[in-house]
Amino acid sequence: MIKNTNDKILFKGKPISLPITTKAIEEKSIELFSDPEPCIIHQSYAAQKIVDHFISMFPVLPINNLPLSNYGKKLDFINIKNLEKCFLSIEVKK
Amino acid sequence: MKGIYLDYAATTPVDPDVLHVMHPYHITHFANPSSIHAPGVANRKVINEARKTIASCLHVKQNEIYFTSGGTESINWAIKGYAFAHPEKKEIIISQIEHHATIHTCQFLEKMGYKIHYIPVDKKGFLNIKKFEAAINSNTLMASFIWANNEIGTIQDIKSISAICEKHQIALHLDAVQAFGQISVDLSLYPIDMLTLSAHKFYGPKGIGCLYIKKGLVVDPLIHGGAQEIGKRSGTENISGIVGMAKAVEIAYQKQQVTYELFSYLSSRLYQRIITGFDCVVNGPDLGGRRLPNNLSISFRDVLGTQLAYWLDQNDIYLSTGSACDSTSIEPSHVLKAIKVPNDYIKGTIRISIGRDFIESDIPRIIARLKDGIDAIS
Repeated sequence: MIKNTNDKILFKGKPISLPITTKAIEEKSIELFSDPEPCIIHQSYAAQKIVDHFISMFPVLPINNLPLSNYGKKLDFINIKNLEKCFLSIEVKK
Repeated sequence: MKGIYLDYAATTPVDPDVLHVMHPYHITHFANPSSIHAPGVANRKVINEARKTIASCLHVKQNEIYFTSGGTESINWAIKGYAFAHPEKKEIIISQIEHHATIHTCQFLEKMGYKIHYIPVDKKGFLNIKKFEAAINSNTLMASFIWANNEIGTIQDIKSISAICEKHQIALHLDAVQAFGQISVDLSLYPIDMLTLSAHKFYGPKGIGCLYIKKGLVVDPLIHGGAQEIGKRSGTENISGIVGMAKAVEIAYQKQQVTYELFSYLSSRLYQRIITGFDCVVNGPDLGGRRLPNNLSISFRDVLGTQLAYWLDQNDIYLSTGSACDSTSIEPSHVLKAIKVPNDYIKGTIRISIGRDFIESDIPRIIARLKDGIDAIS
């Protein structure tokens, strides 16, 4: 879950549903397949790789209202405006 | 390759014996088979010996085998080439569960004014024979069917299909890309006009296939040039591929019965573990006579097959989904839709296809990974 400073929920769902920027998918597709215009299945694969990377950035879970201000451009692949002013929570499935 | 490869219906590794016979044709025996000098003539003979080997395994004549670049080209050639040679008839019959090579070829012809009949199948993927025969009329040119389906393993009733085609005097092409090596493909048993094979599906190299064209059948060439392949398919021959394909055909032919029995046994062991351990349905026919022995298409309830396949990929198990690309979304394949897989299962489809390197002791690991994967993504 990603909230802004007003506690408004900007994203809630499974990590795989994170909004990923088209640019990030394109860059990952070039890295993985050397293909800047992948089909939707390959886009999906690239998106999952990006999400895996995202999860790996947080080795200790769960996390609760982690300020994203320290992550700078490392989270540029998430398609949410003003992300640096947001807070991240990740639950662990029981 | 580390991990467990369960995608043999997509492609197979090249058999070491196949690779061995191919090797000299890259290095020392490289002459152009069309050249009229000793090395060229020798290679011409090698190609015809390969043709003879394949013909012998299919129980047809040597000069009925034409080498192509693979299954897709053969299917395109069979359908378009026959259509172009017989412009007086404009209707073609296929099933709803053909490979895209057939469907997209027919869609191309549709744009040229042909009428394509897409015959429905039942829940197990068997062609509706009555509807097939009912679709035949005086304008019917030909039928083309997939002998054994690549997604769900359904083996069609070729005896009935070919008898109907013969009765109504329409040409029959069969896509035997998945069938060959798994089940008996004996063309002396049925009146079949054209048949497609692709070497990389049975431990041969990629980029080589063949089309059987019954002697006397007129099929226009699609590739024009130097009149190779008895003037029907131009282009300098892929001699190493041809030699490799012949060897792969020979091995697959010799091992077919053993392969069938082994894969049937292994598939049934895996099937039992899956069907009792998960909320799932197995798509296609029951295991046994009318199903490819290496194929298990499984749909898990309320799971996304693409996510499950990705999770398994990250955990060293490699298989396919039952999904297809369109421009904006990932959809269940036309095959799964045609057999009407229930809505709460259809998106959770994966295809397991086993091969030579699969061993029974892999099964517990696969089951454990499936459990972990479904748990992780649910």
